[in-house]
Amino acid sequence: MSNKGKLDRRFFLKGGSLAILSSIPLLYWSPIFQQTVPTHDYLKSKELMVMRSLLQAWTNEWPFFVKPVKPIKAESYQAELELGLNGVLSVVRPDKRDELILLLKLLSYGPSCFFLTGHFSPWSDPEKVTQILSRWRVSSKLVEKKVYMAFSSLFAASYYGNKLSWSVIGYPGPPDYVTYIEEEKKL
Amino acid sequence: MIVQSLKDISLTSDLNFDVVVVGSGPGGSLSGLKAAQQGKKVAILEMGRPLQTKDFVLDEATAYKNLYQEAAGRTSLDGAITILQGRALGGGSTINWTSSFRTPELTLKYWQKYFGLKDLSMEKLLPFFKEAESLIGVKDGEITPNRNNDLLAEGLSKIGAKHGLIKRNVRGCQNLGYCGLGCPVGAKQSALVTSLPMANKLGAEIFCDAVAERFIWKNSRVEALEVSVRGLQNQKYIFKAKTFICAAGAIGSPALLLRSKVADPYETLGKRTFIHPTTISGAIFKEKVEAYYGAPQTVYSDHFLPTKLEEEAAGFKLEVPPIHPLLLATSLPIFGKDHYELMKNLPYIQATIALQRDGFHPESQGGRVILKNGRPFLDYKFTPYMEKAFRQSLLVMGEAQLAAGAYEVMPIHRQGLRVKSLGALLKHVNELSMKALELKVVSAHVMGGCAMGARPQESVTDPSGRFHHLENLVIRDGSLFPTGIGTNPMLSIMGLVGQLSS
Repeated sequence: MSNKGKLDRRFFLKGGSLAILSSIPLLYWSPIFQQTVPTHDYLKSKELMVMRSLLQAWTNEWPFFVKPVKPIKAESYQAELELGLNGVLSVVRPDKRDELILLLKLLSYGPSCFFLTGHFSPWSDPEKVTQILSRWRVSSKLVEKKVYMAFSSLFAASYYGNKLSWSVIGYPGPPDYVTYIEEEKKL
Repeated sequence: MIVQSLKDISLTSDLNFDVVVVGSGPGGSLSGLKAAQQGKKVAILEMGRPLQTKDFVLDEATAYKNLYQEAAGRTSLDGAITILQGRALGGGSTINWTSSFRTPELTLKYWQKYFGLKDLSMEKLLPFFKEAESLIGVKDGEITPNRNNDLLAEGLSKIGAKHGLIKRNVRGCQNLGYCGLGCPVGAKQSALVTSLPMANKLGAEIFCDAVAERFIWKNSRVEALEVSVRGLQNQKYIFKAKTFICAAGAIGSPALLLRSKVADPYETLGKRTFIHPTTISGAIFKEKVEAYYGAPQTVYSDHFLPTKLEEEAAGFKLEVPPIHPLLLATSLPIFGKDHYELMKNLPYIQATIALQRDGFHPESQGGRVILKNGRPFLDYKFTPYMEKAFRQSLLVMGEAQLAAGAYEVMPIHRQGLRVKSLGALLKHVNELSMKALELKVVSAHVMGGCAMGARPQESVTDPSGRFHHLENLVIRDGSLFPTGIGTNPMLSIMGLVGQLSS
C-alpha cells in the first residue's frame, strides 16, 4: 500500500483517481477451498462489513454454487465469494487496490458515506443497499458512475471466476484437448 | 525453446549484446529473429512469465492472471475503457483470437498523405505481409464458422451488409474456442511457436520476468537498459547493447521512453494512442449458440467502414468475441437479478462487437499515455464525433442480431435493457447516453504513442522507426502506427516490422 499516504478524501471525492474502480475486471481465482490464502488479506473490519453488504446485494438472487452432488450451504457460499474477492484483490494493481480500500473506508465513515449514498450507515439493511446500487446504476454523477462500474467488475469476477458457478449458468466447461495432445505425442 | 526467468537465475555472465529487444510480441520477436538471422548476439526481454504451450489451461481466471496486463484489469485513466493487452511470452499474439488482416489500403494511403510515410504503400509492404503470413501460417478459413459467427453472417446478409471470412494464423487448429487463454495444443501460430523459437535456435537469449525500467542514455546514444525482476523491484540488471529495440507494445513503449526521460521537444511522446474503441451488443436466441466453443473469430464485416480517404464518419468493423463466463459476466454493467437472468442464458447468447476506426478525424485524435508514480495510464476521452459512431454501431449490431432471429437484444450499457423489436431498439438506443462510464467500451487493439512520421513536430520516430533523438534506439511494434488502422493489428505490426528490418 505504498501510495496510501498520498491519497486524501478530497482528491478521491473529486473523482480524480476514482478511475480505479472500474478497473478491477477479470482476474483470478484461487483453487476451490484453497486453505493457503487467508480470506481477508486486504480488508479490515469496517471496510469488510461494507464490502460484504455490497457483495450480498449485488449477488442477490444469484444461485448458490452447485458442487457435483448438491448445492453448497449458505455459509460456504459466502466464504467462497469472499475468497474469490480476496483473490481478485490480490492481482489488482497495488495503486488501484489502495484506492478501492480508500473508497470502502469512505463508505464506512458516516459523512462521506452520506455523500456517496445518501445514508449515514446503510450497510446492515439489505434493502437500502440494493436501493443504493440501483441509484448508482442510473446516476449521472461521475463519482457514483465510477463506483458502480468498479463494483460491477469486482463482484462479477468474484462469483464467475469460481468454477462452481459454471453449472448454474449452463456452461459445460472447456472441451477435452488432453486426448489430442496424448495422440500427438504417440505420433 | 530455452527461456530463462530473471527470477530463477543469477546473471553473472556477460550482459553485453549486439541487440537488446524489449518485448516478445509479434514486433519484438520478429525483430529479434531478423537480428539473429544477421548473426547478431541478441537478447529478447519479456515482462511476462516464462509460460509456454504446455502451461496453458483453458481456465479464464488462471489465464487472465498469467497472460494479461494487470490480470486483464487494465483500464483507461478514467476507468471507462477496459483494455485487454497481453503480458506473455509472445505478447498479444499469444492471447489474440488469430484474426489476420493486412493493413487496409485506405489506412496506408492516409499515412502517406498526412504523415509522409511514402514507403508504406501496399505494393512495397506486400512482400513483407506475404513473408509474415508464411511464417505464421495465415490462410483462408479451414474451419466452418461456429454458430456465434454464423449468426453474424446471417444477420448481415439479411440487412444487406457485405461480410467475409477471416484468415487465421493456425496450423492444425482443433477448433477449441479458447484462443484468448493461450492455445494449449500449439496450433495458433503465435510468436511463441514461430519467431521466438526460431530466434532462440539461432542463439537469441530470451529472458522472462524482465521489466524494462529505463534506458540509460548519454548525448545521442543509449548506453544501457536498466531491467528489474518482476515482483522483485530491487533486483536490477544492466543490459548493454549496440542497438536497442523497443517493442513493449503501445502503452508499454511510450511509457518506457517517458520513464527514461528522453528528449521530447514537441511533446509527441505518448500522444496519438489509439484503441479501436469497441462497443458490444448481446443477443439471446432460442437455439443454442454455444459461443464458447469453436474458432472465436471467423466472420467480419467492413461494410460500415469508410471507403474514401476523407470520409466524415468514423466507421466501424464488425466481428464477434468468444463468450466465456468470466469475460461475459464482467462485461455486463448490471447487477442482482438482471445480471443472473442474462447469465443463465449463456449457451443461447450471441455477441457482436463494433471496432471504431480512430485517428482519422480532428475529433478522433486518440489518447495519451502518461505516468503516475512510474506506472503507465492511458488518458483517452470520447468526443461527440465518436459517440455518434458508438450509437450507430449499437443500432446496426442490434438490427443484424434481430434479423438473424434473436429473441432479444441488449446494448451493453450501464442502463441497457433487453428489447425484442427493431422499433424498441431504435427508441432505446437513441435514449441512451454514449458518454464515458455509461456505455461499456473495451479495447484489445492498442496502437500508437510512438507515432512514426516524416516531421519531428508530429512524430516520435522517423519513417524508419528510429527514435528522433537517440541514434541507436528503434521502435518495432504497434506503437509506431500514426492512427488506428481499422482492423486487427497483428499482421500489420509484422508486415511493418518486416519492412523496417529489411
